[in-house]
Amino acid sequence: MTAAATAVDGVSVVVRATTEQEFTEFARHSMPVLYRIAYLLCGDEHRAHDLTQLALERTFRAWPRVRDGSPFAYARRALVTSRIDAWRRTRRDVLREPETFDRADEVREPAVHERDRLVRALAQLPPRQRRVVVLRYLLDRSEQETAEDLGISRGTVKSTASRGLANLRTVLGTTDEEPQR
Amino acid sequence: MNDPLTSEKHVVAAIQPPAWADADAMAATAMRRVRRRRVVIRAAGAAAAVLAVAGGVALAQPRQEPELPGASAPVVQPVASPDADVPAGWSAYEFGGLRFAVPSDWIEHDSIGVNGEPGTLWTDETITEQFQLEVGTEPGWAGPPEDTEEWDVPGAERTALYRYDNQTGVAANLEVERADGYFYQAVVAAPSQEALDTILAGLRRTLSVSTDPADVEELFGSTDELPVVELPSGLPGGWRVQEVDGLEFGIPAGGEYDGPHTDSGDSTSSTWFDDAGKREIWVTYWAEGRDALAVPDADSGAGTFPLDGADYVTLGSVTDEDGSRETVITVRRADGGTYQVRVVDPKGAGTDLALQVAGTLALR
Repeated sequence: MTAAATAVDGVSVVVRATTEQEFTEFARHSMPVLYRIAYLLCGDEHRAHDLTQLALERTFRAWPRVRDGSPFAYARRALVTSRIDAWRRTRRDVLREPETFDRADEVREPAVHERDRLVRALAQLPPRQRRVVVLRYLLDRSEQETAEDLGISRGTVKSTASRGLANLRTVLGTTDEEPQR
Repeated sequence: MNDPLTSEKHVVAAIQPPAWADADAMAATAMRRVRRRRVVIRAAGAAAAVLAVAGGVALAQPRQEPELPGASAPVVQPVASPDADVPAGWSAYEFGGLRFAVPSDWIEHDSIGVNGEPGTLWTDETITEQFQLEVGTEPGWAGPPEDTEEWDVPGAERTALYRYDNQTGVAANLEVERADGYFYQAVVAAPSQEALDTILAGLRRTLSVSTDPADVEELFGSTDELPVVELPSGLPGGWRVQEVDGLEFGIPAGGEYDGPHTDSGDSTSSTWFDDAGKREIWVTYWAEGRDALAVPDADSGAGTFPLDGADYVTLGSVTDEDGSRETVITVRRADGGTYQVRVVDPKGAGTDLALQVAGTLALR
């Protein structure tokens, strides 16, 4: 992935990064986006951090296989499917109940209020609808990409996305027409 | 194109990790945890290596009975060549229902499952050519679909190969899917394209998959070896019976029950929360529940209990940092389909809600 050029006695030497350097660099670039996805899925910064950590671990386990392919795609898939893996979890990742969110944030700055309003709304969707809506509509993944990320069929993505979007609109109180995509 | 969530996307773009989330530290933690796990797995796999290497007569050795579920050391079995396709100077082996051949002078090092799966690693003497095989219950990531080639492997549902350059030469990811939902994932590495092609050609001639699920399931232990959990019988007073796709279960009086509803085309779920939001019951059914098949690790404290109509039942718990306990009950119907019942008990709960729920389970 990474190569560093150095000059020794006028001779350029290409030194490839170590696995540790490669993976650390990957983590620096991917962690913010992985965290963003995790936060949308669980609505809590500590659990989002844990989910991101878990995704990084699983990616590193597979590093020899994915390093030269698309490690971020692998990490994203590890993250959005990590709930399935009940036996390996070290802490429960059950969503916070929407009512437990801090209502005081409504007097905070608008951006924070809007963020938490969205997360509260997502939290009220069934888990699979939430994953599909996050990937399909909030992260602009295609139906096929969403299907591959979640390990489900494209038809399932289509039907779940439709229901999830309708439910999200209901919760958000918006009335946009369903898009023709 | 009408974008349905334009304003929400602006919100999403503004979500940033908290200041205390350090990517470098997270990367270091990930690497440390994985390597520690590998060391443990290597140590466990050493026994298998001894069996396989001692005199090269693993076939003649009696199979070691595992002491605990999930703790069995997988054994690579030399097999008689089923046909004349094994290249000269190569030897055929079988691991978890996958037959393959590698050069006869290759060495089996130990069993390495990077994610806890059973596996085996074969290399040449200088460890520059290798074939690393793992068996799992989840699909992996052979490579970008558009860059993979399909192989026709006898007995396999699907086989994909993805070639790429790595730091020491060239390599290929090989993923073989069984019809029963298990996956073989292998990495083949070599110092040159010619050497890789030779290895892959030999593998392609010799790979085959057994159709007997027992061949692969034995790698994951057996629920027969789990301790039997004693359950309270009958429906506690005031409880109600609910059902998700043929699994009946009891829920306590009160609270909020939601379901069952179809999450997608392949699962159905329902939830129950008590009025205080402290106790939770989640029930999910998958018509094809492949990820439920792996027997929990020996150190998980898992158990099992008899349930008419089921051929696989496990029950295990983890304790959260806040002291609450989550119990996962996994039930596979003998006629197909898998249920997962997750029960969350708050810290200090007087009664074990999970055991009470388990005692109410019945398959219709």
